[in-house]
Amino acid sequence: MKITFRRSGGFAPRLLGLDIDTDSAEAAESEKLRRLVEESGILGMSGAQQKGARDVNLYHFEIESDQGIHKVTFDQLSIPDTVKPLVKFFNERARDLMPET
Amino acid sequence: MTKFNRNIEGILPPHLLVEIARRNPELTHYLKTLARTAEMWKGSEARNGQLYRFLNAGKSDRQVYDAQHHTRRPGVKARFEGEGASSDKVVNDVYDFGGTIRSFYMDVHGRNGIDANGMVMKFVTHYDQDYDNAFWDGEMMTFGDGDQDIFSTFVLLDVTGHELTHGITEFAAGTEYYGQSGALNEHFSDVWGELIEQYSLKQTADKGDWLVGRGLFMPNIKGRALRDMLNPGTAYNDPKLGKDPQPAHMSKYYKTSSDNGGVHYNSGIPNKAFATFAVAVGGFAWEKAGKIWYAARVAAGSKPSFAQFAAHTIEACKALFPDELTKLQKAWGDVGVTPSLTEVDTLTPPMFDESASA
Repeated sequence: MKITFRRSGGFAPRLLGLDIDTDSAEAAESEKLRRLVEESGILGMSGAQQKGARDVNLYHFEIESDQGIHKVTFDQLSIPDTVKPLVKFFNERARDLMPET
Repeated sequence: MTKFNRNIEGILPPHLLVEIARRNPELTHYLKTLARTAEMWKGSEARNGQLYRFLNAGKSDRQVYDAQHHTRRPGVKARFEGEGASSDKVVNDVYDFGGTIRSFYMDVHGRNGIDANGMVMKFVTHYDQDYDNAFWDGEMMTFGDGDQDIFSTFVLLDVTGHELTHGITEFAAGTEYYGQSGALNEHFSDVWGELIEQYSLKQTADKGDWLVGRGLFMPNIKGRALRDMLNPGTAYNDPKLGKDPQPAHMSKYYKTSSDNGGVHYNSGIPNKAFATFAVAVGGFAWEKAGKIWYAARVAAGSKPSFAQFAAHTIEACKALFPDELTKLQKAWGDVGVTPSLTEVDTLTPPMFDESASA
């Protein structure tokens, strides 16, 4: 499973990101991530953004699994409770990315 | 009855009564006349609309809350309109900023707050822990305290004006929040954040700093502010943050689907057009440039491209301050935007998500 995570948006829009391939990641980390993805139910979800919200942080996931590629975006006010641990996992590990130009 | 209504209308039309009452709140007999007029015109919805809104308008009261570093909002009451100062500086600052912003919109644009009808202004302070952001959620403004590593605070006058203006843009124009429309939405908030700051300091355009978020960074961060409207892309350059990525010209347009299609990046282009135009015009920026932009924001509708919005500023300039037209055309030309009422946004990629399985 390959997961691409990006955090964008916000009044001070820092682009943070992390790409993880569970096949090459450290075993414990890989197992934890697989569990978080499964428990979140994210592969069956559509994205959500609160109408009228401005300057909120956005969380983008692209997950490549044996089910195909699933892309989804939540804003910080619309993250389903089950997905919050997954967002926390990536937030704690994501690094600053320079915007591509 | 119909004849009587016509007489009333002929003596003092409702718009005049509303204006007199609005400008002279101490003249309570005007309010009574207004109320009687509305009563007599009951059933005439079109006419009553203006009167009804005025008589039932709020006063854009301030309500400041303290989230106490949690994410539940609004949190506990901290200071409401008319109450004495809190022991919390952040609470008092945002309360005072709300008052300045309210006065600006009323005095300069004749607008009664966020929805033009005196909607309560709600401010949430101390949101979450180490939270590096401020946002508008459609109802209230929320401010983090910053992580105290890169960001020291988000409770600044221009940042507060920026967030509140998101609400005004939503009510006034419904400007969409993706791609060039979204960048204009951000641009409007930067413009009025700066205008409010200059208004509070009684600064002419040439004296304004044109910086968005000056004072937002910790002292050790190499940066003047988060954005520089006159010189986009030069506000900061620090190992912890990287370099300010805002483009100053259409040739550097940032094509991305993140950040709602780069709304916080590409706003640099219209920001520069506005700031250079205001400086070229001279005087107080809110008197001419601000009024042109205020009219164009509504006229441009909900999904303008940069070119379309620029065309609407040209039309507003012709109507309001025709002597300044050449300066405005030059300002848009200098950032590579050719005003056009028909040219849509073809540069921004589609939204990131919702793709089907491969």
